[in-house]
Amino acid sequence: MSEAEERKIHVRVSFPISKKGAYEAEDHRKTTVSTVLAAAMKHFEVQDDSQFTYVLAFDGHEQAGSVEIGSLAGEHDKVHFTLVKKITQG
Amino acid sequence: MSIDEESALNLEADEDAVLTFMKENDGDLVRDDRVGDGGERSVYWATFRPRSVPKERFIARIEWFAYPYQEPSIKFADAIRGSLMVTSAWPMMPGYRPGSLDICEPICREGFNTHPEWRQGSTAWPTDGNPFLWVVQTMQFQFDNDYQARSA
Repeated sequence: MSEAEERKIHVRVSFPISKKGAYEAEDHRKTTVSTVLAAAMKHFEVQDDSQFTYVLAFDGHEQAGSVEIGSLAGEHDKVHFTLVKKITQG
Repeated sequence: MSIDEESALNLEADEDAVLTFMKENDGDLVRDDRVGDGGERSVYWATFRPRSVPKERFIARIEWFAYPYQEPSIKFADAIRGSLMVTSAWPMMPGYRPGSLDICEPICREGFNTHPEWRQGSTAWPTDGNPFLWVVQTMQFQFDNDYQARSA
């Protein structure tokens, strides 16, 4: 792993309807969105069900689970996601 | 409709974060009683911008009844304090129904009235944290990811 890849990124996930504060972690740049999502959902004590799925939004856009957080952070050392409770029917 | 003092104070405590979020997304938020005379402090006008069409703006009237304990009514208007009966004030997105002038999602009174079963389980109205911020974040996410066009 190169030095750039070893450099960790500060990850923050906010979810406004939780008693808990934001989820924060230091993760490698190659960490995927799905890994961050799983950790954030555990932190906020939420899970998918028949009505909702949870996704991470970065800069307004829903992110696929396979995306590496380093590609989102670019030159920066931090990345901020919003946990979105996405309804599966209306 | 007026709201109780506790709700008004709770809204004031949460609205700064909502305004910050709206500004970050090229939108805005203004409380009705700050627009001019005769306003309601239970009503906010939120301006949304779909990311894919930066020149578009949609104005939502968000009315609270008991904050944070009850969901708000959400309607789109053709202007701040404008008509709530104009279908072209509405965006076309899943769950948004211009023909019915309502949003059929568990984020507003109209959605819960259409689907009373949503009041139970994971779809129940959330009262923890900042539900006002959650509502506008949810709507902004939909504008950024699901927006199709302005309704006719």
